[in-house]
Amino acid sequence: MYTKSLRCILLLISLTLISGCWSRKELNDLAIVMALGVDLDKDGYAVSAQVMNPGQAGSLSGGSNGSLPVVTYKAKGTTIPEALQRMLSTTPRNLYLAHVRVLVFGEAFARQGVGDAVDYITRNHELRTDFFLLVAKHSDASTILDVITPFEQIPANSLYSSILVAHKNWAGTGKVTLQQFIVELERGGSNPIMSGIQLQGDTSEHGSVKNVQSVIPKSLIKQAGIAVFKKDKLIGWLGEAPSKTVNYVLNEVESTQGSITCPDGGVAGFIITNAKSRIKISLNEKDEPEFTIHLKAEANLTALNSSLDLSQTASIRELEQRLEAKFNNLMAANIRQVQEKYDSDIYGLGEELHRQYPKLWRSYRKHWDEIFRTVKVSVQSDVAIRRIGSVVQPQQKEMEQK
Amino acid sequence: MKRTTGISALQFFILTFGLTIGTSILVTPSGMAHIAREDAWIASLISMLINLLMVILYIALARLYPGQTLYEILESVTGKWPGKLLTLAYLFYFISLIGTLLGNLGFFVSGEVMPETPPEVVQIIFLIAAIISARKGIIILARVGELFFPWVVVLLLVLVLALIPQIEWNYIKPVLEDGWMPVLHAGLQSSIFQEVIVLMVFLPLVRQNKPRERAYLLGIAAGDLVLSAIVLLSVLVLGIEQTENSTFPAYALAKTINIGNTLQRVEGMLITIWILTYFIKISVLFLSMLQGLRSIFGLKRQNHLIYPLSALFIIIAWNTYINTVYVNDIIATVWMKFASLFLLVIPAILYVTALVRVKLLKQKRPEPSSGSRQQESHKTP
Repeated sequence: MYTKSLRCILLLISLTLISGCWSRKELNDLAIVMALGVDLDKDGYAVSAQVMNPGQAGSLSGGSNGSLPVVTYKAKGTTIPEALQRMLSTTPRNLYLAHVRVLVFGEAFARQGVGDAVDYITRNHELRTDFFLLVAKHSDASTILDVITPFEQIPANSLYSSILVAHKNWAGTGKVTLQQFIVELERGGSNPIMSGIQLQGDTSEHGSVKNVQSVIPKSLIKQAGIAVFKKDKLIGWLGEAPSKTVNYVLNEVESTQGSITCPDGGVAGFIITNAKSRIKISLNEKDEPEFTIHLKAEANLTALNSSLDLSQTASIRELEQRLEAKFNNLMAANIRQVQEKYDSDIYGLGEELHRQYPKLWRSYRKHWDEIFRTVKVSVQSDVAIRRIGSVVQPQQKEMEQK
Repeated sequence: MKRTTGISALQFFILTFGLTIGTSILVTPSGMAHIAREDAWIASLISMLINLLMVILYIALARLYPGQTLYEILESVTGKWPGKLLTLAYLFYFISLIGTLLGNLGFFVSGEVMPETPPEVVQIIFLIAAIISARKGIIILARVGELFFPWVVVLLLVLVLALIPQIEWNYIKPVLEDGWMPVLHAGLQSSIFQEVIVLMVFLPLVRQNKPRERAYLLGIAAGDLVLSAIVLLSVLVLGIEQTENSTFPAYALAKTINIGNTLQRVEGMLITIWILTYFIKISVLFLSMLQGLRSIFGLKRQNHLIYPLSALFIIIAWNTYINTVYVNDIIATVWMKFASLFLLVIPAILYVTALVRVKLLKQKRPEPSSGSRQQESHKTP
């Protein structure tokens, strides 16, 4: 009995001693990559990696030796992993990719196709699929990764949270993770999108602390609408309104602001709080599909520069109808514009057709992009105004009464 | 302390369950999604039905020869020498199975979890565990299974619940786009990967008669249901494109878990489930190999065969699992026909022959004494 318990104890001790030392990675041996940038280069890829400098994180003005909380390394190679390996000639530590928050593609690279980069990223076991994909509008990815940002110590974190905030409250940008991108890329009846990013302002000193040493930072990173892809190639950019339309159709709007003109010429501002869309398909007499996007939205009144009598239900109904009309016309116009200009089905209409009419889809599958260009899409919106804020009548009307 | 011999019905259920889930949980969704597309989950339910039919066949066969192991039945039905030949064929099947299992283990662990650890090390360490379990015998393994089972169930529940928020119902539409053919095909194909016939070797060891048959059926049903749930979730969360294109879809699935940015990076849960059930699977196969060798050569003891066999397993693992693509190719072209021979064709022929012999020719039934003989040998020293 004694030897038995002794043996058990020995086994337990060896369990703690021999476990998990084979491929250990000590924290102080790792360079944690926060953001990756991929650009086109004449012999392949130019990769830039924004690496956290843990000794300096926490003090923007520089630590003991005045270095910054992040370092951006750059290297070139015929494949992405080769470039990353070559980067090791300049970094003091091994690059660790599991914590990448954003992956930025340069515009030139995106136009030529991101498929190969996506292949590398999905093949690598260290990278996860939950980070955001971005395209640098009119610039290289490496320029974006050079910028020092205010608020957040680490620019990659700044990018990451600005995507989240903008997506949640503004809806004019995309929030595309690698996983979504792959699904939309590989399905026959949809094309992917990505969110755009742009450098704004005076970019001469964007990479130094001086950039944030004034009240108005000299340069800022700005969300720049949605990038339209056809298969894996970037083919164009959408402005604010078309980007919102895309998000409405894809059911990605959480809340956003909008305005309409009132009957008397004034302006009413709204916050859209709850928007749900559904794509309905009907067949016309020639058995061709026609798409109707049903949008159900809830809106709250936020501003009113008019003398509308808000105590009347009729005027609320009037506002609702105007909002609906605006939705119907604007969204339909935006969709038509994408159809004509890019013929890339970023709305996933083909996939919806696949789900609802699998037999019909089979005959369209091969040449859906051509069909998409001419297919009829209309928008049917249904807006309900829920709250009008803390006061009833608009100030203008109150003043008139005096 | 009361020393019980034999296996309880619950333990047998757990063994069947572990055998069904082990390894399959990682790879099944990929092949399913490849053939049956959006209907992969229907295919996995069909595979459950086929597996149940298979088990019913095994049980019917076992009823004709109560108290006999698979190998003894082979000899009873076909005669001494043809029976031994058939046993050898089954042993060949089991040994190639263990080889591929070990290979799969090495590739998964070194490819996805611990890239810097050579697969050989992982395989050898795991084999050592299997050797210990083989030395201790099936009864101890059954008890180990009983210890593992609650963990497997709890982790599975957490995994499934944690994935629910990410479900995208659109991914499984449309239903039955290409009709029933691809679904049936995928179902049949994946049912061939459930090697529950191995448990025929240990069926006589289960103490109670009726409950053991129920345990056998319930075990495979429960295991296949879990697999169906994993297949369904893979398609619902990852979509067919990613499910089909992943080497280990269930692992990719577990990686996506993220609840409020707090509960994330918990793919370790899936690895734990997999390792526990995998251990059951490989140990059961190992023990059944030992039994088979003993039965062919009429050996009294079997433990001295363990080390040479393990060396053989490792050699087979290193030489069959050359790379993932090669193995997938073999599985797609050869394995299904090869395995269905042992899982369906031979048992079916055996059953018909046995029926003729037992029922029509009124051959004297052998006494159910071999069962008790076996139990003695399994007692731990």
